[in-house]
Amino acid sequence: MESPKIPFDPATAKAPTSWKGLSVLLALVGAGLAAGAWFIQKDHSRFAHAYLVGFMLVALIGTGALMFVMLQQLSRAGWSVSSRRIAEGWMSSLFLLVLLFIPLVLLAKQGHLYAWLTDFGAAAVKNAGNIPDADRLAAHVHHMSEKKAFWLNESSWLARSAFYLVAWVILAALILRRSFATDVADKEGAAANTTFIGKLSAPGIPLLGLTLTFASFDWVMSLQFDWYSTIFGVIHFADSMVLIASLLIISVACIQGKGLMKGAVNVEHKHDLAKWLFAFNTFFAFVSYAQFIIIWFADIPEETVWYHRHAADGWSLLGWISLFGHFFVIFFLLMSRHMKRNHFVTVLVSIWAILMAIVHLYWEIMPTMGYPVPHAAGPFGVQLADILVIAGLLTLSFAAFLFTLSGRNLVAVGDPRLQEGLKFENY
Amino acid sequence: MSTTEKVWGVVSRFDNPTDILAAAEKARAQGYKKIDVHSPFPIHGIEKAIGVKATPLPWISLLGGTIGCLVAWYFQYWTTKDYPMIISGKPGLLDSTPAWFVIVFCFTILLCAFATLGGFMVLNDFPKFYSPLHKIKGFERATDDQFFLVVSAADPQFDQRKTRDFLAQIGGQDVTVVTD
Amino acid sequence: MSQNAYIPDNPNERVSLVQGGLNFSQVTETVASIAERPTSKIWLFAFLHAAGLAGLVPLALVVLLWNGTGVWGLNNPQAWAWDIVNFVFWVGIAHAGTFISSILTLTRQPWRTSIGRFAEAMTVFSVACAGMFPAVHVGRAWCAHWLFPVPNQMDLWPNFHSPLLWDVFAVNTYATVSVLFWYLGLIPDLATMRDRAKNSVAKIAYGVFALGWTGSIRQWMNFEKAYQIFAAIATPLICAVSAVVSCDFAGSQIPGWHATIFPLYFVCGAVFQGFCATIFLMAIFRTTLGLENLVTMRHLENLCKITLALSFIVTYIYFMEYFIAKFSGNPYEAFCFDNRMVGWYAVGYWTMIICNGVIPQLFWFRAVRNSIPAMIVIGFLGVFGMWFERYIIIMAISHDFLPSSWEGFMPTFWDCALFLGSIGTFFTLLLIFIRFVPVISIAEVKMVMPEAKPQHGDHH
Repeated sequence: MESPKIPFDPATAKAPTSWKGLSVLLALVGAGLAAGAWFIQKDHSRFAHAYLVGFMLVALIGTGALMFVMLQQLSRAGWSVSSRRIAEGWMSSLFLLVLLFIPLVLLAKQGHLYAWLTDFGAAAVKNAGNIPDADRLAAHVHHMSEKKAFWLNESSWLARSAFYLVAWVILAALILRRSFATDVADKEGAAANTTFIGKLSAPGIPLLGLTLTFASFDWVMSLQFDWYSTIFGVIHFADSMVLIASLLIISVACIQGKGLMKGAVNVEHKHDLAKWLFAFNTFFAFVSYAQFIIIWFADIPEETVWYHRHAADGWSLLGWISLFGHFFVIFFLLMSRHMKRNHFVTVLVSIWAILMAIVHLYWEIMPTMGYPVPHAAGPFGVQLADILVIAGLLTLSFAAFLFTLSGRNLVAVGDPRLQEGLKFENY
Repeated sequence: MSTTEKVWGVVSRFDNPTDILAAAEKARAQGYKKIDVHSPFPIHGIEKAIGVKATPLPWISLLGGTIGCLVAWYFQYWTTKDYPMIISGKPGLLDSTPAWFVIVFCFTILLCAFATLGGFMVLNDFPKFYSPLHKIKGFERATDDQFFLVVSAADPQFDQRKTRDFLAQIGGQDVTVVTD
Repeated sequence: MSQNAYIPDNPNERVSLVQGGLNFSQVTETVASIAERPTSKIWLFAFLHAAGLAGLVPLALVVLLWNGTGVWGLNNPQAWAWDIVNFVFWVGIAHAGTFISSILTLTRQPWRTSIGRFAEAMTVFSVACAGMFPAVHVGRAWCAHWLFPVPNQMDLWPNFHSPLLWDVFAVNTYATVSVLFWYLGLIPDLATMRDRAKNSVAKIAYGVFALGWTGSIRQWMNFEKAYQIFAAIATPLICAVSAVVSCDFAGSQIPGWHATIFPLYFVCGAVFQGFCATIFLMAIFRTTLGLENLVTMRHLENLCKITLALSFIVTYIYFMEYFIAKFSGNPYEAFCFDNRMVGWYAVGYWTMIICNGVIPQLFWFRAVRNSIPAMIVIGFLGVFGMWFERYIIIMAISHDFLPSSWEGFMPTFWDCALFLGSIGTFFTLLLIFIRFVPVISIAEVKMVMPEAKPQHGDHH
């Protein structure tokens, strides 16, 4: 049902300070889940890959939120003002990401993730035994690692990763500070802070675009390091936009369910968020299809290896789910205006979209277990430990969200464009 | 043209969107059902004021798109099923669908566009080169800067004199009875 | 205050999109009078020159059809060469119009209303120019119908797996949908022209195309819904058209062509080029046609900002292509890009980088975004650079796998004649459009004026 419109009640804008305690509790739960996964998972390589799925999920949530906020501020949007603070809350995933990066480095250094790192790949092929042409494969892997060493080597990988994280943290911190400042500033001060964020966003967006691209190259594409695709970064950008739109729809629904943000986000804003989800979900399909069709069509062995590995041993199921579940289901469910304005449908579709984003990351990352040994990932299957670690990291991300917004205004009450944003209607 | 001209409706002019919206709401409150508004640009909110239902146009477009989608896919299947062209190792039905997708997409959009414009014409009763409204002096400003409220003679509550007085009373200027 | 002065932004208040305090009637007058006043000398001068240049097209075509494609500079390996460069170039110009009237409609950008009509006209005319090239490129132009899905005498159908056939569908769909979309948007304005017409020929001509529009609320509701649907279907369509054109290249295995980013690359490049062309032409026509109050400095500044953003995207893609060519470990890819930078086509490559990646960076400066001469120059260079982008993509396959087949490309006189002729055709059509049709969507501009919103408080 379309929820009725009620006027915005500023008295309900503030989040309770009890969120802080809740966030600490959730952080413990999240860390506990991830740690539990480590203890029950005997296969450390599998744990490392599942951890990377969770890590990328948190990274895409954080960068998606940051990109969303910067795009809205740069384009001086009015419609998104009343829900933008929630996206700013999700930006805090980027602070969390710095902590989460440490275990990732430790796992990588033990040879659980990246075959190019200190020639782990060639060693793995030699140790695997019983594979045909093992020596030639090992030589090929060694050759490729050497050829790509100008980019894929430990120190520059660490330096680049650090650069991405620092850039994101600085952007997020600056925007959060200025945005919170508009809550208490007078009219002129709020306008000045808003203008500042807009100006920061202009160089911020290209910076984020580039760092996100290279982060997805460095953290995900280099898992199967002799493969390459120029559009790989854009696919992850599209997924980050899908994630943030879904999270905004769900968070707003939950927060309003608690009697907060009354009237701030009405059916028109939800309609627009659903359009955002719909648009970027379609964009995701476009870029994924572009990558697939060009590789499939030209049939060059160096490139088809990726799809071969990700379709082998039953893993293709996840690819099909990505196609039908990620694209078609969301596309057809949200095509109609009535569906986009239906509270129940949009929340349900958003939960589904987040699930699909996880499935997509899982499909990209998990089949590379044991790379470059053929069929090392084993037959397709999802283990409890995988779910635990991904859920744990998602819980941590949620905890960071609650911690950041605890005791703060959930609506940017001082934003100069708030009144305009509360009034508009979709025609 | 018939020799006996019959009354078609009463028209009055307003010179800004605020006034015509108010007038339309008053006419509706008075119980008039067959009201129309002519304006140089769409005035949002007026369709609710005079009770016009949402247009079924999206359904027509969807129908066009669906037909385009199915026809294009089946057409490609039909032309290759008896004499398969096995090019770049992509024969068969499911194997070729990724390559057929582009034409399916284009044809979906094409038929959707035809259906949309066609539906637009049918729903508006276009082309229609005659309207009694054009007999009114000054109605040409309906596409410039003036706003016209029309109460049709088909309205059950229509009464030539009463309706005319009513429109004048709610602020309409140049209230005119139009004959057809 | 000068009409070319910077209009500052204030987050507390939106700036009016119509400057100079015009009311509804004055907006109509400003736009409609352009098509109504007697033919000006300037217009006639421009028209005769454009039409003269367009006259090269029939000449070049006769020479081509009489002699065959040998009159062109194409060779092996550059069998596509010059005219496919021009085909992709003209398809690219088209994209700004569709982008403005579809994506900017869906994202509710009210400032698009002043620019959309003109840009859409550019779309329609440049697609017309584009369509000519593949049709004559087949060599035996009398067999051009082989491009279409008709069976031959052996009952064989064209190969639906081929990106070249996808292209036929995509470009024809694009041309058709663009014309329909443009015409739909024109209907209310044609009615305005009909109602203003002083002589009966004009009244009947405009009246026939206005279809009987009276601006009733039902007509408006159908119109707005139809416009939204067109916007919604045109958005994926512009992505698809250039993406499909890119598949002509990326579907192959040629180094420098085969990259997964190509679909996105062609879309963004085309939109960038289209915006450059729009800035270039808008900056000129705004003054000549006296539209300063409707196409304000703020509109132009917005165009400049979008162009800057698009310049970043194309630069990103140039960089990605280069990076992956090096990262891939594929020696042919790596060589292809080195060859672009320092080889036979280096001048073209660096022209492309400077015009598309470097010069638009000047739009960071407010002074540049508010200077008409700067816009004209940067817009022109953007279009120029994008032509070189296609030139580089298509020609730089000259050095592929086998050194024995390496060969450079030099255009001949007839290559150039056909291209210049297509430019003439474009401007001829554009000038005819300006002479007869409202160049700005009158109804839509009125809709976004503050006076168009009923003041609710008065009567509730």
